[in-house]
Amino acid sequence: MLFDWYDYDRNVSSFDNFRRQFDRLLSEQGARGPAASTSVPAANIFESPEELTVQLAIPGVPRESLELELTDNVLTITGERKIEVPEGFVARRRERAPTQFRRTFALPHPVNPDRTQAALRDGILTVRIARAEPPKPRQIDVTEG
Amino acid sequence: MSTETVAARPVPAMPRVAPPVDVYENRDAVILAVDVPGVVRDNLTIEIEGDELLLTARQGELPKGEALHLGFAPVEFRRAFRVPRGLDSSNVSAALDNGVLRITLPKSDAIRPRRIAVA
Repeated sequence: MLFDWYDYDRNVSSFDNFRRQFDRLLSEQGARGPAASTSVPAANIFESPEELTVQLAIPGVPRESLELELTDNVLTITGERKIEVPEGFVARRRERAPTQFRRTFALPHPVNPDRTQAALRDGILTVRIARAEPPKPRQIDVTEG
Repeated sequence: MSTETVAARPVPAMPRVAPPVDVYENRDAVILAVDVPGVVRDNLTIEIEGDELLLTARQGELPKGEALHLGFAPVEFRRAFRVPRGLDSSNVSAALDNGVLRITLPKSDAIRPRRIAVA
């Protein structure tokens, strides 16, 4: 005989109640609600005299799923994350969404695609792209005749 | 001599965001999976007081340079949970991997399903 003495339903609703209370508390303090899980990850773009930096917030997206392409000053990043319930577990709440994304960035300055670095750390992809050196002024001799 | 007190400059308030959470359960434990991109271990605290579990996590600083577009400024992730009765809050473990935090709360022996042999 197997007795299951664990009364989870009541506990789940206490999670929910608390969540509601907590959300209310948050909203009273003027905080934003839960970060929306959309299929388009949030991006930051920075410029310095030397380089452009593009960041994507992609928690849980494995490095192997990422593809970056830089063509004609357009950076394209694609990636995917699946949400897998750990083996032997049952999902009681699912707010994290699986994502499959493609983002393109038209870079605001000419860049040198040969000097690009990409790093995935703590769920943030950071792509650093060197800006192209400005063309040197050329002296043009004036010939007679 | 004047005894002017120079107050420490307050840490600028970060916007607070409640991160999305999944809850998984099996007969031995409950797992909370939380998306906290940009958070390193040192900027993460999990406090358990009574039956409340409070998660606070701060994102790191932005790269240098002028921001042309800011889709995510540094935020403070914050979310609280009522720990259901029957979870062993003294044995909580947590792991951070690629921006995803996993908090494991084992069930106390009292509520684990058990087999009872009928004599």
